[in-house]
Amino acid sequence: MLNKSKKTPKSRLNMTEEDSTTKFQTGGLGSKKGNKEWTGTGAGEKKKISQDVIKGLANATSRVVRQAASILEEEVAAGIVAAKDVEDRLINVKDLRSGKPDEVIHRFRRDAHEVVDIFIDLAHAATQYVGGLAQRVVTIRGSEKGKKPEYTASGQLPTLKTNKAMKPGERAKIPMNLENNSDKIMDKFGFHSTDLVDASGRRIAAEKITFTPSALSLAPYKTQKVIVSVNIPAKTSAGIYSGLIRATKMDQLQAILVIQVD
Amino acid sequence: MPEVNRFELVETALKHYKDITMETLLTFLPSKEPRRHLYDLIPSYPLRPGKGLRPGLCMATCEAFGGNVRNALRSAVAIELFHNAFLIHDDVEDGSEYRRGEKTLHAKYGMEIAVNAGDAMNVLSIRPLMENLTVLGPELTWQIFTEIEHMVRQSVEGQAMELGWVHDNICDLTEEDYLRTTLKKTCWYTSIHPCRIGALIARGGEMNLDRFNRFGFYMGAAFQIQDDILNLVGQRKKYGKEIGGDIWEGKRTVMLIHLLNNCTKREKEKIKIFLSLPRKQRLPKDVKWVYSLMSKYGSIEYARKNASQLAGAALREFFVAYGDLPDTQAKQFIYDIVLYMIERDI
Repeated sequence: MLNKSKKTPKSRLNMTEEDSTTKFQTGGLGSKKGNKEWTGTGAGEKKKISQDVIKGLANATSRVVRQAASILEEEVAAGIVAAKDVEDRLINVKDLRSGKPDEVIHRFRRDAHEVVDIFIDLAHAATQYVGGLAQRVVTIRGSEKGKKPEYTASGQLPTLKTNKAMKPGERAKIPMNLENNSDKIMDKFGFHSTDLVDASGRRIAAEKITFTPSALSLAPYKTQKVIVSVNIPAKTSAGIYSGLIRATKMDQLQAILVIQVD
Repeated sequence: MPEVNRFELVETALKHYKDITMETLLTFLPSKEPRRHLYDLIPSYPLRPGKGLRPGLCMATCEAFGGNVRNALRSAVAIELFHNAFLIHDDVEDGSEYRRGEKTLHAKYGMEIAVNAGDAMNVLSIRPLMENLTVLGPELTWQIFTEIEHMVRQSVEGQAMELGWVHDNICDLTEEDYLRTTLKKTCWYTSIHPCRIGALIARGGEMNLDRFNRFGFYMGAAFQIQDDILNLVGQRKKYGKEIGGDIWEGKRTVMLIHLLNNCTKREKEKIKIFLSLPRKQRLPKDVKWVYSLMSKYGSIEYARKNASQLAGAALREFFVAYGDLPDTQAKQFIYDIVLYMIERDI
């Protein structure tokens, strides 16, 4: 199926069975030529665009880029919550995570069509993969002692939520236990959150969310509790609001924050 | 003239990736009846002179991360098939007349035939993904499936949002609304997921794919805005679609949103009336008038500035996503393509 092209393109690009790496001549990122401004085919307009782009590169805080960054974080967080919702409805995740995936897979198989069976094989493999990913240096856990970190199949992120629905004007406090599973100290880091958004797009602004302590270091094999506080504005409409919490300096350390307002 | 060569190199690399994608794509098309009203029409859009950006990004990212490009080929083919299925349906939804320099499929063969051909393309894209199983194994195949599922779902949701704006004649939109829709409708499937899938294959699933999200979003948004600008100021022969088509369709581009937010109340009311009319009832002089207002209020220049800033941010994020990799030609291609995409006139 994956035969080489019979017609080799007349270009400096080549791909052979032995060496499938694409080759074409260029200045290279590290070369002076590679760093030159690209002016294109003699058009002053294009030169101006290049200059604008370089300015944009220097100006990391232009409004459109800031907006884009914020939207992206919200959408990613919303996608992870949606994926978890689907996962919870389709399969008994706790059983799978407790190390008995075969039992659940067998139950599904009894009724499954042959084609669906293939997908379940894949699901089984993916579940094992998710389990493998759970070995992290620093993990976040919910408030219950001894509880295993929660991970979603798509984003491998834990979920932090209150035990009960909150009312507008109330302050929600959610403990978040951090655990350093490595033999290295984790340098001082803090947390920040996106806006919390509900299904209708209504928001609880990020500035209503605070972390105590606001910054911390974590010694090897130590745990520490961080309290996530959410001041729910008095005029907040009822709904389930969710957003993404991220640690500074550690891209991997993230959690989903979910607040239900009645 | 090293700069000219560099421009050509991006195009040469795109052509190379497109050539190998097309060669494999054609092997997945059934050679059987019904030909005249289905299978003969399927290669029509992919064989037209498109850029092949999506498979190019997927395969180049795979190479940049040290993977074998042949392992990414099936996924690149699936992405290209999904893309062309979207285009067929998009042209129907927008009532477009030209695509890549030729008549749109529905203009040529009728609405029903075109919609069904688009459906077939969606279905045909599943097979290459299934065949990943034998080469990449179940774990990686499943991960690619989940990436594709997210990609397709985001695209149709974004498309629904945009169609809803036109259908309900929504005129109070912000730049944020535009960016969110562009992320969903364009960026996930044009740039973010192709990069994620390429790297996923190269690294056998062992990496944090979120490093590509910002790079892909900024690049994809810059690409979309440039596409919208070309729709207004490009040359039909080069661009391949009817110039001004977005105004005829009432598409909520960044220029139209800027205009609606900056013109006088009276002008806004008049534009709203124009946008409330079905496409066939819109007059050339009114389309010209909307375009002249965009010029008057600097909406096109504003869009250019936004595209430049987003492209600049994409170049910055390139170093987050690819910076720690050895300097290879695939990596260079991905860097160069950001500027190419916003300087292009096709």
